Amino acid sequence: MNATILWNAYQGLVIKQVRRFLRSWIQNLLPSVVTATLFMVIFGQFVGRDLGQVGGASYADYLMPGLVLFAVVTNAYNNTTLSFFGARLQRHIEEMLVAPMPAWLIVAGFATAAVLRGLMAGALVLLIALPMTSLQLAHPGAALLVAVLSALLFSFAGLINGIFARSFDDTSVIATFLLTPLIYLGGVFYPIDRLPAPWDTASLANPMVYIVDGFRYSLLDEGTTGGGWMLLVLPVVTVSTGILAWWLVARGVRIKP
Amino acid sequence: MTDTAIDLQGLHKTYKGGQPALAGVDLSVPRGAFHGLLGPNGAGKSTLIGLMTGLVRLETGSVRLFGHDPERDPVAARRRVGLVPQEVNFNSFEPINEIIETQAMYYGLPRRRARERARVVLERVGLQKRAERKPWGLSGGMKRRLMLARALVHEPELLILDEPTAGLDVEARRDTWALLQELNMAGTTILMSSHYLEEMRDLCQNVAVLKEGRLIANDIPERLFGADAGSGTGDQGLEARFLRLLEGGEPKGEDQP
Repeated sequence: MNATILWNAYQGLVIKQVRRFLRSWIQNLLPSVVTATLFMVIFGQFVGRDLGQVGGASYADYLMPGLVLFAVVTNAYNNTTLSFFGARLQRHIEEMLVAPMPAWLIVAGFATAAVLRGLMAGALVLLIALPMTSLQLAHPGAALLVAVLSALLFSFAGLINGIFARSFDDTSVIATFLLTPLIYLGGVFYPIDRLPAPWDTASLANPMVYIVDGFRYSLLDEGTTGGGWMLLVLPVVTVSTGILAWWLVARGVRIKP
Repeated sequence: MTDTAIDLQGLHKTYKGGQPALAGVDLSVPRGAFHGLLGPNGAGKSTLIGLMTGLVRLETGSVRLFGHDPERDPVAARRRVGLVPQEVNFNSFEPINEIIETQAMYYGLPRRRARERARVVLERVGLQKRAERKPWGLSGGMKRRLMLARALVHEPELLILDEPTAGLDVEARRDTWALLQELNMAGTTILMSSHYLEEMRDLCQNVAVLKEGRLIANDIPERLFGADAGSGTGDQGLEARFLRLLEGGEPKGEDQP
């Protein structure tokens, strides 16, 4: 009985959130595709031809996994940040708080929709970019696992941002000044072992390096850090971030006076 | 099965940096009652409603809805409750029927049933012709009706309304009264806060009066205002009698005369 009620509530929240981002798909999904296409055409095709092999692959092949992952994580992050902040701002978060929805279910509903948006954006980028590469998708199952875990991690992080944001400016600060630099410096465009010391070592502290590299490995069968670290660290960090998001919602931080 | 719909014991609430909003309120509302909640601005009415419905963090005291603690057993407690809040709190970017359907699913209704119920309640409040539209163009009265429809969609046993008729014209107010009386006749327990003394007198079987976070009276309207109280503004009018009650009101419990 309870399980059915909770399942219906979860479905309601996921449907609402998916409708929300599909209603404005031009604003929500298209920018990632346009950006990735431009990167693939300009860097992968025009500039990449002169670069030869990078990380054991053509530059277009090397570039594409990072661009797909970039689309996945930024979409997942932005989805929860904006939708949760919007729900607080317009106070329709109260629709959930008065209903028999435990905090974990609210977090799960927001995160599920964000993962779906991330995967949709990633799939679109993959579809557009794939014809420009010679990729064979070496380990599709592993690629999907990394994409889902990454999207989940960033959806939780985005939700935490949405909880603490006091204005629309606050919803973009973390994405602009932390997330984007971490991704750009996380080996999307170059192998970190090509960096001069101490930057190559410093890059190892960037968690995005392992996620991007793990995803690249799952698509190209080529990587520099090995997938082991990523498979160990990513689930642990994802679960920890999810627990923090749940705790904040359960405590009613910035939600309940 | 308990005969008590609402059982509040020793509720205290102080907002950060403020005066106590509630200072030890006990209140019991039997099943099937139409109970009023009266008090000047800042008396603690909305805080009391927020504590019952999970919108405000409980500090000390206990809330039981139909014998269940809404924090520990949200499905058993909250599923039976519908809330019409004082402030508009729906998503203005979502079509009206989707607002209602989603809320029904939050309360555990399966999607098809949620859709049916949305149609029924929108028709009941006269918003069926606008069901596909977004609520931007709704008047203040229509927004209140939308929130009433949303609160009724899962057929709650207890309906809590925070100033539901504020800002409504005479006709809309009378429609709302008729609907509430009809629901109460059908067995729904109603707790309603309002500043309109006439609706307290005419609709409620019992009225609880709050002042500065304390319950100063809880009695039938005839004893609170006097059986002969008229609607005018003179000395024998409702307003004058209510003001005298507030000025001279010694805190008294439910069992006190």
